[in-house]
Amino acid sequence: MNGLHIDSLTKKYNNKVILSDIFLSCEKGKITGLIGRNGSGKSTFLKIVFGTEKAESKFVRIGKKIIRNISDGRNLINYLPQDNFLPNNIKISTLIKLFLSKENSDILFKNEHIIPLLNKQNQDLSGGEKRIVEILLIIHSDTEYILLDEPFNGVSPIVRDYIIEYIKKMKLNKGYIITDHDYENVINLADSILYLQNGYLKEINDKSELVELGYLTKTTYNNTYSK
Amino acid sequence: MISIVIGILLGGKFSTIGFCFIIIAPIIQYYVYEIKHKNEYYFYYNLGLGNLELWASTFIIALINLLILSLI
Repeated sequence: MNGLHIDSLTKKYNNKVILSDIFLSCEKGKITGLIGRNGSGKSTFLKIVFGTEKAESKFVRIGKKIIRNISDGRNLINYLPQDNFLPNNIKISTLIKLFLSKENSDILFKNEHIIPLLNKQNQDLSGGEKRIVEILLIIHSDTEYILLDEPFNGVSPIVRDYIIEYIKKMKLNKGYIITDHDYENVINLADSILYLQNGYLKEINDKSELVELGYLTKTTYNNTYSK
Repeated sequence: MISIVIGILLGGKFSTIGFCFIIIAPIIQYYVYEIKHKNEYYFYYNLGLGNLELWASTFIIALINLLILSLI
């Protein structure tokens, strides 16, 4: 079983501990939701796991392979950053071919949301259009684990719902760790929820805990999750 | 393009254009990727290419250019 295993992850900024000896385990076919207040270290955590941010200590392993840097994580772990990352001046169809295998490119070339954008360049797309291209590229990449940092940034509610359903449909072959400012998206999508506060990670075993923490209103909880 | 123009302004020898490429290419990469569009690095990171590989490829391509232009 090629599980993603994160252990002993510690990060400090100016002697302030942001992440303290974090442990997290994730499996293929599972979506792990990461919630926490602004500045709690969610994005930093994902960047450290991906390998673009340094940490005081970290141990990341997928199956038997230890991930120390970006090259180690090739075809194993991909990351969707908060901000748009596609290069400008290149057609979307070319970017898809560069990023994905032939088989996966063909899937995107037939996608109803992508077809109208194929002949446009990245800088000619709206923020929401860029985001859907990026999310679909990452979801279809040849990798085992995907880290999604604020995937619904700038996305319309219809597209957001489409992406949520799409991730649920595609989760069988990959493991996901997801964070989003709109906590309900994460709560709705995730199989397990982790709460990051003061550098520590706490597993949410019952969604009623989210009401106490202020991430769900009592009404939403009663109407949606308590049944 | 900028390397070719500067190379021509400096005398137009092929080897001079090659040397210009070695200097200009890293400067442009630094400006475009480190300053202006830092986030675009994630496109390459997701392909498994780190900063070291990307910078190394810039220098290697520039050196190959210099070698070819010097041999002409």
